[in-house]
Amino acid sequence: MSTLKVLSDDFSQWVCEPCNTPLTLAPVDLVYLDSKFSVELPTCPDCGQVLIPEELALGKMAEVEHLLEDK
Amino acid sequence: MEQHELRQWEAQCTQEEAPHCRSRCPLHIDVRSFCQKMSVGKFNDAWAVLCKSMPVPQITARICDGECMERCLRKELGGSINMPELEKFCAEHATRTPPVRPLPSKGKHIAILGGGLTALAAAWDLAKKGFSPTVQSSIPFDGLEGRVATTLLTETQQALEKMGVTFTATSSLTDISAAYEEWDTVLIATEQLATKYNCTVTDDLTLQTTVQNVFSIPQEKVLSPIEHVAAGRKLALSAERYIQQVSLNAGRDTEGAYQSQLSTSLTSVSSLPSLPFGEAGYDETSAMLEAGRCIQCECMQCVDNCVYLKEFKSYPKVYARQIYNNAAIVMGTRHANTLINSCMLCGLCEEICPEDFAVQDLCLSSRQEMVEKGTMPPSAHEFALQDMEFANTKGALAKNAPDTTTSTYAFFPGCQLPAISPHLVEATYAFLQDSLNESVGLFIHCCGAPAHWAGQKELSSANCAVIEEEWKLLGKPEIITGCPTCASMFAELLPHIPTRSLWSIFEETGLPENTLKKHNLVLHDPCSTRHDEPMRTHVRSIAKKLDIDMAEPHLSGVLTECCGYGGLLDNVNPKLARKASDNRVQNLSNCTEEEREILTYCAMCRDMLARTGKRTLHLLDVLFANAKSSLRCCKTDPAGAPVTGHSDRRENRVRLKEHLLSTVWGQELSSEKATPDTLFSLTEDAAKNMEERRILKNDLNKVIAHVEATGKRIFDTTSQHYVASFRPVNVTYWIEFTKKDGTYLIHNTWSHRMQIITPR
Repeated sequence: MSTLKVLSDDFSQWVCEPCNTPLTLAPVDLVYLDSKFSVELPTCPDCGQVLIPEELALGKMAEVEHLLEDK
Repeated sequence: MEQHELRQWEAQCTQEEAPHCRSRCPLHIDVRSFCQKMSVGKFNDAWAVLCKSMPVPQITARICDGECMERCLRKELGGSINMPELEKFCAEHATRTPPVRPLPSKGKHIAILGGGLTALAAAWDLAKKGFSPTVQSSIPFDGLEGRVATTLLTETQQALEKMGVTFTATSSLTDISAAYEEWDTVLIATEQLATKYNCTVTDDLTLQTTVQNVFSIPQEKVLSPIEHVAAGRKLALSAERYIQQVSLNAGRDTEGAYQSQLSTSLTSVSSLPSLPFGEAGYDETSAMLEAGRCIQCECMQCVDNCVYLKEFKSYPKVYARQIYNNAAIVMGTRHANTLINSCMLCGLCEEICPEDFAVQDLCLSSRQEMVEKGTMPPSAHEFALQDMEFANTKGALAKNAPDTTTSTYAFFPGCQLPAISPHLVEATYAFLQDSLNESVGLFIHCCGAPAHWAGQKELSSANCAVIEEEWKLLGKPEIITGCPTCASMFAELLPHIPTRSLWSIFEETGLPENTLKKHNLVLHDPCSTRHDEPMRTHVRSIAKKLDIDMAEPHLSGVLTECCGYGGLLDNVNPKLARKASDNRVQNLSNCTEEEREILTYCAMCRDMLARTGKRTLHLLDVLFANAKSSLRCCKTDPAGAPVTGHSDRRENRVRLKEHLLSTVWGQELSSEKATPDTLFSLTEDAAKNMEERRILKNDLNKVIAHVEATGKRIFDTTSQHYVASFRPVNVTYWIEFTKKDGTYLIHNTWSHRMQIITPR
């Protein structure tokens, strides 16, 4: 499964708590209605905490959710 | 939906029927497009429209006698469109004729006996299809000399010859019964020759004669010029079918003039006089103006009066096909899901449609089918169904009046009035107990409309069963419905339970003492009262007793419009729901010159209309002006009261229930709170986003509890804000927040349904 790149911003100003580690872009699995995608998302390299920014949730992600619901 | 059902739906929508001019024209000229192009001066394009359907257009356009004018809907509104003059003008002024490209020759022998319009038309049509016919006549342009310029006749002959038509002055045929020896078919194009050869037409539809391969114009019928042209076309088609050995008469019912079913509303069409023309016909300006008088007949009456039908840019016949195709998809995208789920199910289209096309029935049955097949998008109705579940558990109540064991009546306020105006439920119940001599119970429950609208048949039945059970426990009282949707749902889903509307009670008991003094209002009938004439009458009668001068928009009563909530539109397609609210408010505002507040009698309508900024009252706001209660959020100005948010609606239900249990039934409140305290405050933006994105305070509480329990959050070193998320069940909720002195301030909130599989 290839990893989708949907974010291009720098997320290094985001710091995971409690790890105190800056987030880095890493492949994360997203699942909805029997479909699974690997997407590059800002993630804590230590604990794996993931950030879904507002624009992504309400933009591309909502679009894909809608599309999958109509499948 | 089965295919035969689709056919029935399609047949009910007449939008694709031809306009009456076109169905009356024996050649079915697209008069509507022709006039449209003429009206904007596109004469070459208009000419192309004529050339598409006219044989020998240079001649036909000049001899047309305008039979369409008999059926033109302009006839009584200034006079029919003068097609003969417009056609002449167009033929004279067009500078470009679309080229005719005949099909390759099929090597068949067809003789056309006689000259004139019929012969020329038949020759033209046959030549185009690759049957190079021979016209046998000494006067091929019989009857046209003097009516059409000689140069045009010559040009037409040259054009026909170029298309493969042969002209001979003499006929080799003496015995018509032996025609098959020399010719594949023979067409007799004049009445005189039909008489001479003693041809008897055996079938008017095909013009076949007693000799199988001979087709003839009828001997005794007097035909108009355009009918002669149409007869030529008919002969040509019969010849083609005969040669190709296919059915001669299949599908020819609408070949000539026929009656179209198209319905066109003329209510907004004003009279316009027809343009005079001189000896030389129309000049350019007059021709354009005359063509511009064309009404451009179409139906679209339902679409013109429904923001939903307009939104999807087509009309019910097309929608029915899209919905049918949607259900047939096994693999691939179901593009019509949003179309199906966006109908407000209000039924206005059925009232407006001359053929009673009920889009609401089409959409509701499709939703039920989708739920059954498991193809309903999970997000479509989830929020509303969860709200229904909440109303039926934490907000529900069914009790006989204190110190009674059975009820003659039970007040059923529905689930939205308790959520939006709990104090009015309290005041109304108190009034009913005081004014009715019989025992009045209180029954707060959802009528099941959200489940019904969502196509959830099982959930809807289960809800009915609960209502039925509670109703029996109350002693089978007559239900007094406070909400018009509840009234319609009882009538449809629980018809054996006796009900009457709250408004009919006020007519009996008289009105409460302290009413709000209002003089000029405009009335919005909720769409669920469309078929409840008694309820609408009671409301008008109450308004009269209140001395209210009531204006009504054109779309009122049986033709009322939905506020945008019906069919769960606000859940499925909030943007369209907003358009529906705006549209309704505009129609209500436009019916009076001065600004008036809206009066309605459905709690949901009140909030949906008020959210546009328009001052709107519920009838109970007027009847119980002084309802003093701790439940009342807005003390002085009910018309300007803010719209109740999703979280507050839930809280109001619980507060009402607890308040009534305590004040009416004297029950001690349990120490466990039905709704937990809010753990945060919100910025204005966050509060707005929360409502728009259907995120509840309770959802945010859960995220905060999760942060508190796990310490998991992400810090933005730039904005100095934190972000955290939690997924209770199907949705992941996010908050952006700051924390000061142990208090959370939420700056933003968003959500998604997709689930994150945490990398480790």
